[in-house]
Amino acid sequence: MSPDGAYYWAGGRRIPLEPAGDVVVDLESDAAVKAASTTPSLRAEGKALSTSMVMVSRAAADRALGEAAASAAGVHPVYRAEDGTLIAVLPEVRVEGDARSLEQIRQSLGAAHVTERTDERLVLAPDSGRGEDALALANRIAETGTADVAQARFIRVLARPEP
Amino acid sequence: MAQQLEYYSGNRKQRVTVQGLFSSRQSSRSRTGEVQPMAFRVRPQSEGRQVLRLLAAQPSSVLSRFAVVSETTTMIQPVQPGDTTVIPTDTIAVLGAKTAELTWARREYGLTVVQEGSNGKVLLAVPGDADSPPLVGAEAARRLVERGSVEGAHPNFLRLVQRPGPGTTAETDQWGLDNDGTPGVAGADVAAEAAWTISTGDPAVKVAVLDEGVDTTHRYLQAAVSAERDFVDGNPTAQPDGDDAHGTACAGIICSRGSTVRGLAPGVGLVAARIAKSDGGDGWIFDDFNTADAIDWCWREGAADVLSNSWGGGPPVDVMTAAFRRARTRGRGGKGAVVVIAAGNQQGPVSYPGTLPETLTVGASNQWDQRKTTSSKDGESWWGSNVGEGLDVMAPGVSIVTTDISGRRGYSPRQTTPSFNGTSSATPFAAAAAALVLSVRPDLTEAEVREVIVSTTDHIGTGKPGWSKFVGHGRLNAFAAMRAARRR
Repeated sequence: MSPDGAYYWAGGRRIPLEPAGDVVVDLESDAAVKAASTTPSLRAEGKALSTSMVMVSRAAADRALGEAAASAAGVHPVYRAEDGTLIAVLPEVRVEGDARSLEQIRQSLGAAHVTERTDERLVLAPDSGRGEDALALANRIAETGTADVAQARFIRVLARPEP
Repeated sequence: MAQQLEYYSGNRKQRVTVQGLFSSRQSSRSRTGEVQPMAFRVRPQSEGRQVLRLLAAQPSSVLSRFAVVSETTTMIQPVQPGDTTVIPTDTIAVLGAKTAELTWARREYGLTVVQEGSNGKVLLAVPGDADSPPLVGAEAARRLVERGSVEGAHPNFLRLVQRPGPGTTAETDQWGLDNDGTPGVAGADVAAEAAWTISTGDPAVKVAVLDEGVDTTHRYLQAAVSAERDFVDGNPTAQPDGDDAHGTACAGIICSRGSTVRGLAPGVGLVAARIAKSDGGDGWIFDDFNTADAIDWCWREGAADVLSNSWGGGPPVDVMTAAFRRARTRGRGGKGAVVVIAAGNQQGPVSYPGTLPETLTVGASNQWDQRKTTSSKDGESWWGSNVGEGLDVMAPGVSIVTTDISGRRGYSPRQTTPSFNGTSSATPFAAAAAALVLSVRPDLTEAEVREVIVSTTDHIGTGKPGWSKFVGHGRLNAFAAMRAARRR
């Protein structure tokens, strides 16, 4: 069990997630962007995950964003897998199943909302905008057994397969 | 105009055929006494272009050694890539020369001693005003030998040897397709030549490469591309960023249509899906949701028959697992798309998604038909093919010749590379073999294609025939798989 109890479900198995204490993801949000804009060094020393995302060190994030940014919907957890892969959890959940199951899930969302819906899929977002809450939402749905897939959005940083 | 320059070596007459010309001016001293680099005025002839390019690329430290080349015109020997170029100069080397012979050489040909080496070697120079110094020198050397009073005499050649290093020794040695045993074991390959007697691939059969992008404008790949999409940045094409060359190399192993660098299934179509990008260092960034969408797009919109995945690592997630399952069950109108996945290069357990059941998971073998390990004969001690549950087949994965992105940001400065490695390179061989099987038997289900491939492998390793955690069912044999498919 990881120290903060983080986990997710895959293939019917509960998979623990170990926090990668040294990194967080700065997802584009008003608060984070505003904070980052005042500290150019944050982006300069970070690792760009996309045009709108930069992975930075915890120390740099703390320095730049402080408590205000940490409490804003702009900082998301990063975990480290057994093989060293870094996994950032974004505030989005994908649910797959039949129409009846999806409707059942939609009606019991709680603090989350639907951002996309098809016959086979629901895409949900926690109202808080936090990655941790997406993980918890996906787990709650998975544990009810009503969906084929309930998965928070992961971004993984792998070693390039170039020996 | 070809001319032959004859000389003796080892008591036998040797001939060098010289074609092409280049002019040179010797290095000279400026008025201040500074040595000026020698200027070359080259006159390209079709036979000598490679030599001329080679000369033009030499650093000044090498060019300065051409001071002994004829001041006006000398001859060069045409070369093929990898050959050594010899350039006759206006000097000859004489071994064991007595004073009387040197006197004779001066009287008959005007040769003068310009350098005395160790063990009785002497370097003699032809007069600068001779009509064709290399020919005069060669004739003098011949006659010195024929007079019988010297141990040896021959033109003093300058040799231009391509510097050994990655990409220079085996630029077109596609041992994975056809291994002649140099190096390795003859026949330790996927039997491409035999497979091509049946088919080089049906254009209607499409293989998707899910990777960090593919240079779909590459001259060896462009004609094969039937669909492309970027799931990372939303660009209209699957072009890679910066030095992201991995996907282009994978695609070439499948369907390169070059005359010297050929894919295993050069006739099939290519679907390119960009699912990853470099993090600027030695990492790759994947968004699991986007990757799942790419998998679905490949079998659905891209109509891919085979999905080639030279990537993996990290824990499993259901969104990708479910997308692969849909590809296998819904692709190809319900017959299923064949999902091919790399085992990984850590010499540890097979990595996800290679661990998924009912996919074709591929490990890497070398030129000796060994599982690639940190101690296998190929000498690449820094990586080994993953093993264990989920491993299905092995395929060539060391020093693979394939396509490369253009320019210096690729694996090599050229449009091809001779050194693509890993289970990343083994995987597209298996994907191409699946495409060849489907080219002759498009009615087969994906499970039947996998069964045909694993049941026709060549046994490798020291264990008993059958599945082993180290080499799966054995090394891929595309010809045997196609033949079995036709008879099925």
